[in-house]
Amino acid sequence: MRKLVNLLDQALVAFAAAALAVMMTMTGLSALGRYFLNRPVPDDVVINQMLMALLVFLPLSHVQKVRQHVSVTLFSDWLPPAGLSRLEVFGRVLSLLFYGLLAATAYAATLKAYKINDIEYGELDLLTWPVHAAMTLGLIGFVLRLLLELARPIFDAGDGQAPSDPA
Amino acid sequence: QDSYHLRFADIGPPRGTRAEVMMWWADEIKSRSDGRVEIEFFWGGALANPASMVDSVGSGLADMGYVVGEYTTLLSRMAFASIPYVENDPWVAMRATFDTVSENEDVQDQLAETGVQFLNTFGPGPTQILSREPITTVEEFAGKKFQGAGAWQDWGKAMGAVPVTLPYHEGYQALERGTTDALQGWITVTRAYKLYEVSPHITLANSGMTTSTGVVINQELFDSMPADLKAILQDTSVELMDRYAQALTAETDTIMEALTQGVDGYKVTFHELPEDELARWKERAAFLVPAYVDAANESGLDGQAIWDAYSANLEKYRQIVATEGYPWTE
Amino acid sequence: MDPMTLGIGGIFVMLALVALRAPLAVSLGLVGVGGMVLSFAFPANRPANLERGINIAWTYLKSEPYDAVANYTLIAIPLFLLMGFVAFYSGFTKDMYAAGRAWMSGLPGGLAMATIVGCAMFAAVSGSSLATAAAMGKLAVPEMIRNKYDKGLATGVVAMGGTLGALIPPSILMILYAIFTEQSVGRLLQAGIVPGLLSALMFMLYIGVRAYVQPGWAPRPGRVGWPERMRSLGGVWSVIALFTIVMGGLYAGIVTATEAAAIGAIGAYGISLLSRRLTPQIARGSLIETVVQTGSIFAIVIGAKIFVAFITLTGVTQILSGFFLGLDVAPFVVLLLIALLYIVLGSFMEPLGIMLLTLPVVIPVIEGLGYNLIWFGIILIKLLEIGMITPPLGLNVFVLKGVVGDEVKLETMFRGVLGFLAVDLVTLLLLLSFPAISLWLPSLLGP
Ligand code: NA
Ligand code: NA
Repeated sequence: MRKLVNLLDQALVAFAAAALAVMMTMTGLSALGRYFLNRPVPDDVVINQMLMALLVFLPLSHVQKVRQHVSVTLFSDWLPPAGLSRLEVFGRVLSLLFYGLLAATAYAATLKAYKINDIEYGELDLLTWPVHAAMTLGLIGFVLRLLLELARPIFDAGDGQAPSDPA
Repeated sequence: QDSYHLRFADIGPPRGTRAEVMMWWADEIKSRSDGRVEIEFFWGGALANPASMVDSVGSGLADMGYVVGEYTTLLSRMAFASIPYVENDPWVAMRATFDTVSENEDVQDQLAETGVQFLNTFGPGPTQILSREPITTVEEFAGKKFQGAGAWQDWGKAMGAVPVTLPYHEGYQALERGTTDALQGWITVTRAYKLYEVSPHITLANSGMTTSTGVVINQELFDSMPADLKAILQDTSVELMDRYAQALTAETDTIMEALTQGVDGYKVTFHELPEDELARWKERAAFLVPAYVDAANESGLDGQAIWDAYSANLEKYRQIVATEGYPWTE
Repeated sequence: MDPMTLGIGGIFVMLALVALRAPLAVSLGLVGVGGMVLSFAFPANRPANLERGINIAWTYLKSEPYDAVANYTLIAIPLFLLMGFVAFYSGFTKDMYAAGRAWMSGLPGGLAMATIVGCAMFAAVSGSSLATAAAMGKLAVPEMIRNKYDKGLATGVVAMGGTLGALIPPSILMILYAIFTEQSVGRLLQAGIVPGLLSALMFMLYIGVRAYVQPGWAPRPGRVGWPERMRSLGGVWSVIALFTIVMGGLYAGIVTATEAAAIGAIGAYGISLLSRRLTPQIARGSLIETVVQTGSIFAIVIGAKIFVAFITLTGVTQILSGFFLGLDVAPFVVLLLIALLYIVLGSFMEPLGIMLLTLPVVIPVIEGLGYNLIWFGIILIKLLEIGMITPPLGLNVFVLKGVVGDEVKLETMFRGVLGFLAVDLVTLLLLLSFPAISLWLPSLLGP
C-alpha cells in the first residue's frame, strides 16, 4: 500500500513539474511569437488556466508527504507528545473529510464536463474534462495518502515496530 | 411564503449605465410588489464568478444572476445572438434575442437542464475597435495584435489581425504598453473600464453586438412564486431592456462628445468608416452565419431554423422601430 | 438560523480548528462548506430543507476549486517561484548578497535594506503582492539567514516588501478598484508610486535604526577592503541580467506583467546554463519544489475562497461595514474606523474578496464625506495589503514559509512582520494626514 501511494505521488508530482515546464516555455514562446512573428501560441491563456489547475492539484499528496501543508502550531506547542499526536490524527481526519469531498465533487465535475462536451471557448475550443479528471486523480492520491497515514499506527502495531518517519 | 429576499449575483462594477438601470429595476420590482420582493446585489463576482454563474443560479446559491453566454458551454445554444455584423440597434437586438430565447424549443430545452430562466437579455450596443494607432482600413487592421472574444476573434483573424487572448481586465495594461494594438470594445464599457486612457483612437466599426447575456432566475424559485409576483418580475425585466436601450442610445452620444473633448485630459479621436470601406469590413464577417448554422447542425440542432427564427424576430423589431418608433419615443 | 450568528459562529469554529493544528486550508474549507450547507438548509423565516443545503454546496464545490485556481493572472506566482528556486540553487543570489555584504558592510541592516530595494524593483514588474513575495522569497531570505540575520527579520522584510507589489504599478488590485469606483486607472497607478517609495523608505529607516540599536538582529560583517569589494562584483552580473530581462521585457511591451514571470523563469534557466551552473538536479529540483509550494499555497487559497463564499452568504461583512459606517462621529474617526474594519476583515479574507464586498457600502460614505477617491484608493490598497501579512490568513507569509521550509517557524515569521507592520501603520497615518503624498505625482504627470 505504502509503495503504491508513494509511486502514485511521484508520478503525479512529475506530471505537475512537466506542466510547469510547459507553462513556462509556452508563455515565453507565445510572448516572443506575438512580438516578433505576429503569432502567439493559440489559446495560451486557456491552456495556462488548465495547467494552473494541474500545478495545484497534482502535487497535493506529495505536499502532505513532505509536510508542507500549512498549519499553526503556536497554540498547541505546550501539549505533551501524546496530545500532539492526537491532534495530528484529528487534523488528518478533517483533511480526509474535506479532500474526500473535493475528490467526489471533482469526479462529478469530470462526468458532467464529459457528458455535456464542455469546452473552453477559444481558437482551439479545448475540452475541459481531462483537466477535471487530472484534478480528481490528484485528490484521490491525496486521500489515499491520508488513509495510509491514519492507518499506519495499526500497521506499525501489527509489525511490532516503532512509528516510522512520515517521509 | 409571502415575501422574498433575492440575492442577485452580478459580475460587473456597481457603477455605470447597466448598474444604474439594474438598480432602477430592483427598486421598481420592490415598489410594484409592495415590498414583497427585495433584491440584494452582489457586484463584481462577489457571490458567484462569471464562469460558474449558470450553475450558481441553477443550484440556488444565488437566486438571480447576470450570465454571459460566451463564458459557458451550458448556454451554447444561444450562440446565434453573438455574431458580428448582424445588428447594431441595442433595442432591436435585445428584444429579438429575448423573444427567440423564450420561443425556441432547443434553447428552452438546454435552459431547462440548467435550472435557470431568462428574464431578459442584454446587449451593450455596437462593437467598436479601440486602438493605439488609427485604424481606418482593412489593410491597417491587418497585422495588428487584436484582443477580441468569441466570434469577434474569428472575424479579426479574417481581417488579417493577430489574435491575442487576454482576460479583459488585462486589456488596459496590454494596450498601454503596446502588448496589444487593438481591443474589441463598446462605448459605454470604454468609459466604465477607463479604456480611453490607453486607446487614443476608436474606429466606429459598428460590428454588431453580443446579446447572449442577460438576467436569469432560479427556475424552481420562479415556479414557486405566486402569479402576480411572476408577472411583476417578467414585465419589469422586459421594461429593463427598453430602459437600458434608451440609456445606451442617449449615453453613447454624450460619452463620445466627452471623450472627444477629453476626460481627465485623455482625448479620443473617433474614426467613421466610409460606406464602401464598412462594406469590406462587413464582408469579412459574412462566413460567420453559415459557420454558426453548420456548428449548430453538427450538435444535432436545426441551425437554419434557429437562425431564421432569430432573423424574423430582428425584422419584426426593425419594423416596429421604423413604423412606431421606440417605446420611449412617444 | 440567523445568518449573522451563523457567520460569527463559523469564524470562531474556524479559528478553533486552526488553533488545534488542523491544516489551515482544511479549517477554512471545511467550515466554509459546513456553513454553506447550514445557511441554505436552515434559512431564516423559511422551512428547513437539508437536501437543498447539500445540493447547493455540492454544485458549488464542483466548480469552485477549479475556478479559484484556473485564473490566468495567477500563473505569475508559480513562475516567479520557479525563477527564485533556479536562481537560488545556481548560486546567483549568494554572489549578489556576498557583494552586498562587501559593499554595505558599514551600513546597519544593509542586506535587509537591499532586499527592500529588490522588492520595490520587482513590484515595478509584477502586478500583485503575492507574486512579488514569490519572486523575492528564495532570492533573499536564505541569504539573509546565511548572513546571521534574525530569522523573523529575514522573512518579515520580504513578506512586507511584497506588499509593495500592489502599490507600485502595475497593479491588478488598483485596476479593479478604479473600475469599481469609476476613477482614472492611469491617475490611480501614478498615485501609487510615491506612497510605494515612501513605504519602502520607511521600512529601510526602521531596519537601519533597529539594526544600529540591536546589532544582533542584523549583524554587520567586519570592514571589507577594496580589493575584496571589487572581486565580489564579479558574481553580480547574473542577477543584474535577470532583472534586466524581466524589466526590459515588460517596459518594451514584449510581455505583460503576468508573462514577465515566464520570462524571468526562462531567464534564470538561461543564465544558469550560460554560466555553466545548471545541473539536471537543479533543473528538475526547482520544478518540483515549485509545484510543491504551489500546491501548498493554493490549497489555502481554495480553502479561503470557500470560507469567504460562506461569509458572503451570511452578510457578516455587509453588517460589519454598516455598523462601522453608521456611527455618528467626526470624518477622521470614520476613516480610522474604516481602517479598523479592513484590518479585521484582512485577518481572515483575501484582498479581492474584501474589496468586492465592502466597496459598494464604503465608497458612498467616502464620497459623502467629500474625500478624493484616488487618494482613498491608495489608503485602501495599503489596508488590504496589511491583510496579506497578518495571521491567521496571511498569504505572503505562507509563500515565504514555503520557500524557507522548516528552518523558520510560522510564528517567528508573523513576529518578524510585527515591527514592519507598526512602521507601515505610521506610513498609513502619513498618507491619511497628507493626501498630497498620493495626489502630487498624478497632478504633475496629468496629461
Ligand atoms: Na506592482
Ligand atoms: Na491576514
